[in-house]
Amino acid sequence: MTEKFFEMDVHTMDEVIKLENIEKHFGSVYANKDINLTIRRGDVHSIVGENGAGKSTLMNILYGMTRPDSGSIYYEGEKIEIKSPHDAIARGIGMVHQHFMLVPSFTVMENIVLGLPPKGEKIWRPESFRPEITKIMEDFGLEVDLDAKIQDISVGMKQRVEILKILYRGAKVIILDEPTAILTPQETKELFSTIRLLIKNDHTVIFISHKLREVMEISDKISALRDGVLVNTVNRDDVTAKDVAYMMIGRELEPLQRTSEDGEKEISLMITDLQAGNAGCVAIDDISFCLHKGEVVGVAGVEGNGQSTLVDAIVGAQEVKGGAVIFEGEDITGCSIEERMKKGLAHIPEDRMTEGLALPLSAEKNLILGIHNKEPVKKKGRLNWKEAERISEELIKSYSVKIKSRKEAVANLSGGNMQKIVVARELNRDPKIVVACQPTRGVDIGSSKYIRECLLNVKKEGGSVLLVSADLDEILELSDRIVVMYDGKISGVLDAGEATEERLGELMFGRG
Amino acid sequence: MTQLIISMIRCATPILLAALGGIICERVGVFNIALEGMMLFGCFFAIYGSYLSGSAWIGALVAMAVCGAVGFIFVKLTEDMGAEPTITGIGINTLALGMTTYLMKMVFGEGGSISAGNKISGFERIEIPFIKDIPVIGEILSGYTPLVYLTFILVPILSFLLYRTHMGISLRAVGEEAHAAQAAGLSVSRFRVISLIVAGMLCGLAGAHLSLGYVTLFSENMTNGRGFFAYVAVVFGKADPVSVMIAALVFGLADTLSTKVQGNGIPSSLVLMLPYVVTILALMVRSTMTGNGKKLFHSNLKTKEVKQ
Repeated sequence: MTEKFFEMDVHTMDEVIKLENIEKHFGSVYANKDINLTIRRGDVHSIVGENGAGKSTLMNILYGMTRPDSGSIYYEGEKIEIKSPHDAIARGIGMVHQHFMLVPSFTVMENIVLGLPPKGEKIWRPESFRPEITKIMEDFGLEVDLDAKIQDISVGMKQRVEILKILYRGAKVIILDEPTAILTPQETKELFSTIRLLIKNDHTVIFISHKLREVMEISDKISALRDGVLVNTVNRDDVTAKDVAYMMIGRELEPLQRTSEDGEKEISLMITDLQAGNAGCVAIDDISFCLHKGEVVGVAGVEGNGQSTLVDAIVGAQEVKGGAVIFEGEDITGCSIEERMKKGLAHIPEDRMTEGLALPLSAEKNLILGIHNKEPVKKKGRLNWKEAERISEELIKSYSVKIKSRKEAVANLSGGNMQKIVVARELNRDPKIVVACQPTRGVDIGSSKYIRECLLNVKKEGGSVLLVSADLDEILELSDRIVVMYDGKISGVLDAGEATEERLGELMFGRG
Repeated sequence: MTQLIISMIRCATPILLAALGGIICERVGVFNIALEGMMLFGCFFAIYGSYLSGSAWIGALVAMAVCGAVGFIFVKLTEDMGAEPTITGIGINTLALGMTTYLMKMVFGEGGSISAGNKISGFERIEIPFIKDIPVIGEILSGYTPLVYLTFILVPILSFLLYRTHMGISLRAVGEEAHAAQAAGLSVSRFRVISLIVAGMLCGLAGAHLSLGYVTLFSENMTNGRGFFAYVAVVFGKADPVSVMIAALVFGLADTLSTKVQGNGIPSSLVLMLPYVVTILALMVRSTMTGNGKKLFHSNLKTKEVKQ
């Protein structure tokens, strides 16, 4: 008995943060239910879970952006109240958000110092901050050019600025919200070495992710959330990635079956010497590749290297300055979006909220968009609502979209379900070519797997898929061939067999 | 030539004053098309204040107070109550036109225009000692009303505040990336409320210059689009005080020319179009320039969105 008590004492000294019976609900839905979680000093503690599992809510509560309905938070054994991010920072809790909170036209230094009370004087003297910031940079291996403007630096650098910003404000506990989602493999490695330096210097890191490989690599402890409930907290050394996946989704996840057939295939889409790019988007030049029937071609690259312009040029959302887009032998470079759709091109756009869906409209109306002016949905110049009902009910069922009724506005759905609606609508038209951009971004594992299966189905039935994704795992999992883009040009084309993450990473940085 | 420059500076002053207010709005991320209406309120209340007190300075203070209040109402409507800024701006402009015309009839019992004789005192011109004796330069630099000097002194001051102080950096952060500013612990809505009050006060001064500067009268729709020119100057100068000053001077020149050229055989209605033609040309030139800086004018983020 005595021994046990003694042990517990040691543990309380070690714990930095303790969450006790945290509950939060939105409407009738529990985002967090009776959560008890202890974070130990010097740990990398990963929080995993699918979208909507309550990870973000929990972290927002800890960072003071959301108030819990009930429950308490302890910091080093002392009960505290965190009413705003300001309180959290004052306690030494800092958070790096998924979407950076930086001012693009400001320098790195200005962003780090922004909002802090001036040092005795009201006049801006950047030099007075430099020594301190430089020291933090050196201590944690966070090299950044302090005088560069945010808009000119890479995503990885921006993340460093965010980490610097919270370290400069004295954070001891650092929450990283899906930090690797936007990084290249090389940048991820650098982030991990920063995390290790943080731990060495007596900091604590809370790492939120659903990339199991990374979680297994960096964590000391792993907690899984599912449907707002904390399923379990385990030591990394005691479990396998498979166990963690099971904790997250509550069932086994089987790997995707990818078929690949050899032999000559017909070309369905040919891009020759394509050149495009208006003011405000990345220009592309000298792009040539082709897409065969029954093939998935992945377009990899760090975001902002011309992928979006390429997609716009192919689907007809942007004028082409040179070269041609040839669809089954026919030059469609000058065709409108509608004409391209009629010929059998489908597009799953990058941003479902702005380009993919009409948010205030019902799921039913969204699902019949594009076929609403064709038989059988159009009948004698009017909409045939019976047919619309049949089609939308069928799609909602077969894609298992979680929705109250087909009449519900899509704006109320979760990201994954919204994306399913987009995919269902686009694939329902039996397209010959699907241009899929970031098809599973921000979508939970279960839905992601389903969407990927759908894309592979297109391929199985003889269609072709152009998959543009920032998620390398996704590219590697689905593609037969991979086109890598860097700085508006193709930096390399790899067959699935020869593509490794390292090789892709090199090409993504133009070091082919 | 000297006369032309003097006249240009005089005509540019009200546009520049309102534009300085416009710069602050733009920099803090509030789309403010109500500069015109605020200025018109300023014209009337400057006259009214001067009429009651017999002092042009009191008139200017009254104009500033009223327009500051209008700025406060504007920002409360758009930020707290979620009103659409364009509509609110048009509303304030329409209200200003109707209300000043109505008040003119109520207070002075006259329609069209008022210049109640000696009862309204305007600003005295300042002759700068020594400088006024230098040939040409003296003529150009000396002999304006105090508001003209104040306006041009405000340009470097505003530049300094925006770029070289903590307050200015915070203000620009609020305007450019409100989320980032909020995450850094700044109060977005406080910055916006104070900025709009200050902008309103500057528009009030601009109005005072119009009605008490070189004439002492108020007439219906006296601003006649100058507030819109001010907004265009802000856009054209990318909300940078010095560039905006240059734009305002160009508009001042166009304004001057349109009065000077009149009576030279060119149809007057054609000549009166000049400032508007310059405005359109200015906008066209700007839109052909690179998209750099464009974002500033289209990323007006409402506090409401930030709160989520």
